[in-house]
Amino acid sequence: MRLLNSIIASLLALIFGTTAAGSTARNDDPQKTKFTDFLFSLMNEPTRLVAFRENPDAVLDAADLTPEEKETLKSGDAGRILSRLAQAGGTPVVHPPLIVMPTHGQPPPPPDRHPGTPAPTRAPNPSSPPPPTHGPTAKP
Amino acid sequence: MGRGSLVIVGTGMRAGVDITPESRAYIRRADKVLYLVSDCLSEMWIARNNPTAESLAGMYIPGVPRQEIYAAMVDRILALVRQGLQLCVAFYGHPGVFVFPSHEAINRARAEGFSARMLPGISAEDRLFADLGFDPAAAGCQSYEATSFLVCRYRFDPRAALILWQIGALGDCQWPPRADPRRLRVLTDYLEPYYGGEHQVVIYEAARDPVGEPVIARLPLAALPDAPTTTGSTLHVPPREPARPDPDMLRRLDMT
Repeated sequence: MRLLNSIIASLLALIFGTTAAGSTARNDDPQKTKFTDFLFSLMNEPTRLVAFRENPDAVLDAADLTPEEKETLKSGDAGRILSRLAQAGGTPVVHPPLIVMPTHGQPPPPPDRHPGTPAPTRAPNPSSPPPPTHGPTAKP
Repeated sequence: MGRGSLVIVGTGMRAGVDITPESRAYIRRADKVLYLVSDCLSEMWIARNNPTAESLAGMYIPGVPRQEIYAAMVDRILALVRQGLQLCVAFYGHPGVFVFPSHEAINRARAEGFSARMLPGISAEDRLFADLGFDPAAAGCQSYEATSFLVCRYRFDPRAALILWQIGALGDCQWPPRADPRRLRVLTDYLEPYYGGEHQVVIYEAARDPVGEPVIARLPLAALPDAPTTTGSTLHVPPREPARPDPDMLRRLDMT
């Protein structure tokens, strides 16, 4: 199984390390729009970011942005902001990638409750399925 | 080419803002940067700071078990270190919190004699404490990956806060996870005997850009199966009731 995983992993690394356009940092100029410029200025100038937090209108009034862009920034809506960034050449990433592996295959705990653990407010559903005793290899 | 080394850094949750100056410096000076981030602004920021930057996101192949995807990430990291590169790998959030490939890569690099270290970043949990305004010291805090919480039936104490990560990927080890309300129903059924269906819970998702706001949805536990979630959603279950000090333990500690 370990050998198989290694082979698959090597193939994945080979494929995605060399050919996947989406896996390589884009060469687009990330500041080709004023909207992106503005966000980068907040990222690189903490005092400006704080000023925006304290009084967004004052900072936006001084920014060379369209009313729609200002409204998007004031909304704080991550979806709208990312959508506009995608229009500016960014790769739209809608959901964060997961990098956590569920842990399976551990033996079930003994039936007694841990000392001091309060009882449920009512009895747990007796029809609940028993915990599995097998599954993918757990992370260490 | 010198001997390779590995530094793993966290970019934090909000692009370009949550990262430490030290981690920023490592990204800039590295021979090669790999990264896995949750938004395009972070991607742009990393690419501007180091033109060698290469995303690991493309390794998520639909239908491939995530365990194999993570193994491929680790192999990719180790291959570059063995080439003699000063490699920096940036993960969003905290690189050592709920991140399998980072720990595995460091362990394997060290086992092969390479210098390898990790620098922290602001995690989703850090942001959750700030955004929801609760202190884990007040009543304690239990934190589990949601699928593991159910599958392993971890003992938990409803008098302390409970945080369950990745409820949007509950019971799914494939990529991409498929949202399935039936799985949230299983979680709800498991929790309801301890808290009751009217107990108020929070579905939380940290902000990902400098001006964005976190997503905070408060709802009764019974409504959880019908609530919209994403792979970034976290469930916060406040304590059911305050814990009462044990008189015997107070006496033993001379606290009476």
